[in-house]
Amino acid sequence: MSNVKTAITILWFLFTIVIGSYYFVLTNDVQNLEKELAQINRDIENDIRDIHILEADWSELNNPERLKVLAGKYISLDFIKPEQIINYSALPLEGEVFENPTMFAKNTRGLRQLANSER
Amino acid sequence: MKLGISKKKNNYLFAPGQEIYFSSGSFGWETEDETVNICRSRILFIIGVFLFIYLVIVIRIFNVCLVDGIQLDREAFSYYRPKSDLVFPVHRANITDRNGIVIATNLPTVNLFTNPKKVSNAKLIARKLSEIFPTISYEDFLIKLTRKSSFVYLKRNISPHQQALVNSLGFPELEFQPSEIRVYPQKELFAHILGNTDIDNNGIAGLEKSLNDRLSSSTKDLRLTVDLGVQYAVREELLKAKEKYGAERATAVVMDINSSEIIALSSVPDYDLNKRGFKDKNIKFNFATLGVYEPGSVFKVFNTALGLDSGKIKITDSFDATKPLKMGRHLITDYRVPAKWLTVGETLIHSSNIASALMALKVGKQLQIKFLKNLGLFDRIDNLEIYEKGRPLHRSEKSWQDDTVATTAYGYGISVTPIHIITAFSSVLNGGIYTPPTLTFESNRKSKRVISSQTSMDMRKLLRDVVIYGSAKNANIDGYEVAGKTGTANKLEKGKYVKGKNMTSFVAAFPINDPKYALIVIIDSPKPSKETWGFTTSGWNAVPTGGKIISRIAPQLNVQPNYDLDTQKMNVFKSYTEKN
Repeated sequence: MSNVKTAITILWFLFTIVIGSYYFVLTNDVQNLEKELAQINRDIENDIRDIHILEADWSELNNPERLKVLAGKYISLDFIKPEQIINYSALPLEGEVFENPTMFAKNTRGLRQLANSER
Repeated sequence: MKLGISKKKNNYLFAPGQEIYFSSGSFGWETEDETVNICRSRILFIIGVFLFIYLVIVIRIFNVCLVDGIQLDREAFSYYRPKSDLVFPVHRANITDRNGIVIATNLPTVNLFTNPKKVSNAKLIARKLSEIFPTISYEDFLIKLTRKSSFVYLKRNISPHQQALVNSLGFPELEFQPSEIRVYPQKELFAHILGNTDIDNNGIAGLEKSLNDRLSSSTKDLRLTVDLGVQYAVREELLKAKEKYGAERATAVVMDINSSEIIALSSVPDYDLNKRGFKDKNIKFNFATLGVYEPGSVFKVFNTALGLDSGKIKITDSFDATKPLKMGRHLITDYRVPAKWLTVGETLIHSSNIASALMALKVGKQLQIKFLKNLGLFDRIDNLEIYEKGRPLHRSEKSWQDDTVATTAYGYGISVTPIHIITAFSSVLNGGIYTPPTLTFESNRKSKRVISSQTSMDMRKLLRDVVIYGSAKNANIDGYEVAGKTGTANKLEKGKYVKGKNMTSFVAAFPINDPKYALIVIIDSPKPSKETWGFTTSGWNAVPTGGKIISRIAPQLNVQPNYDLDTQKMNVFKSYTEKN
């Protein structure tokens, strides 16, 4: 009987050690994960802050006055004029206007008149 | 060697060779056995004590690692909490335009502060700080550092670079406090709409003040109805007009004619919102919403709409404008109007005061007051979110006699703000629905019908004729059918009309076949010039400015010009020949 008792005691003892160790490891893991989560959150917050600042920067870079100066300097772009907005059917074929304006004018009454008046 | 004799205590007789120990704890001498026993028990006691200490340490380690550890860990990282709900870097919401471009934002900064009582070498610190912050003198820093208090800000809102420089000085007395600064990336562009905040980020003007609770209680962006590109175009044209006509001020508002959303609102002169300490109060005056003025002939739009909608006047009716009209003390005259009977359309085209007054008198006082009230021209527009709002000035209903009925018809004797006029104008041309104006998408507004749809259609036609044949010809933009009305009124200063000073207005809508947007332009005190042939009436300044604004903003607002196919092809051809 005493042997059985001893065995049970040892078993319980081992079981306690296993459970305790497992609990210890698990808690450690949770702590590490919490630290990792906190770090991730800090990183996200830093990213949000950076994006927030970049949005302000982007707005400043998009200042119309600045864009106007840059567009005029590098790409000769000006404000869009009403006559630049045309319907699809008024679109010339590729090269039609640029290579052969007379052909383009041929089927257009207004242009024909314009061409005649210039002649 | 053990002897039985030694077991006896207090025995002073010892055998020869027996080891004798002196025992301080007993009265006499002890034998070796007793001593061993005592040592053994003492060792056991010490082992017990050490075991107990070890046990305590183990329990404590266990406790610290597993129980307290979690709590301590939480506390250690509490600065970065909460975990599930991320902390936004700033505490005041952004303001964006309708396309989401940020026009007001808070940036995280730090404040540099110290406890002067702990400062050991004030002169050295002051010298070093004045090198890092050249705008603040050594003396100023020294005064702050030697002040008899326990807290003083040395510099608020310093940049990260400056913070690094201060840190590198290595003075432990210099401390940092997280802070925020309100920044307006578009500088002057939305000056009068946004207003400003004080150093503690509380709104002190404009939307920043009126929506302070909304902006400080939520970090969700506040989206406005204004459009950055349109606002820029409007402001630029106003600046040009102010310069060109030597005006004291120029103001314009662009409004979505159906929803009454304000697309652009500008009044120049204005100011850079990022700067402080402007001495000229004039630049902070938001004329568009606060400037109460006598609008003059633009009121004829409402007078005509009232007449037609009341049914008392037909569009074919004529009015005698051959001679001045005497109303009590007032003699109503016309300016450059043919002296003849004028139809309703001609009344607007020639902007006849006499015919308008006759029209109003035919309608009567009660209907006129009711109509103007319906158009919101008697009350402050409380619904509008901006803080600075003007209350119209008008006579009381009791003292509203026939002369008031007559003068109100052509915009004298009543003062309103530009925002009142454009909102009422929109409701006349949008089909007859009045909707209070707004600057945000978060407002609750109730619309109401003020005139019939048929009257609205008639008004579109009549006002289109004003642009084709009347005083607003300079706004007849190729491609867009603009309809509008001009107004020129003597400027009132300190209750007196100033000779030679005019307030000129132009109110317009486009494209009139299906109106999308309304515009009002006001030029304050334009000067005559050779270019304007010495005139200072609306047609020579407000109208061309309005025309330029429309031709610039209409393509931006995606309003399709009404060119036919041939004209469009010609435009392509012309654009090609211009380039080559």
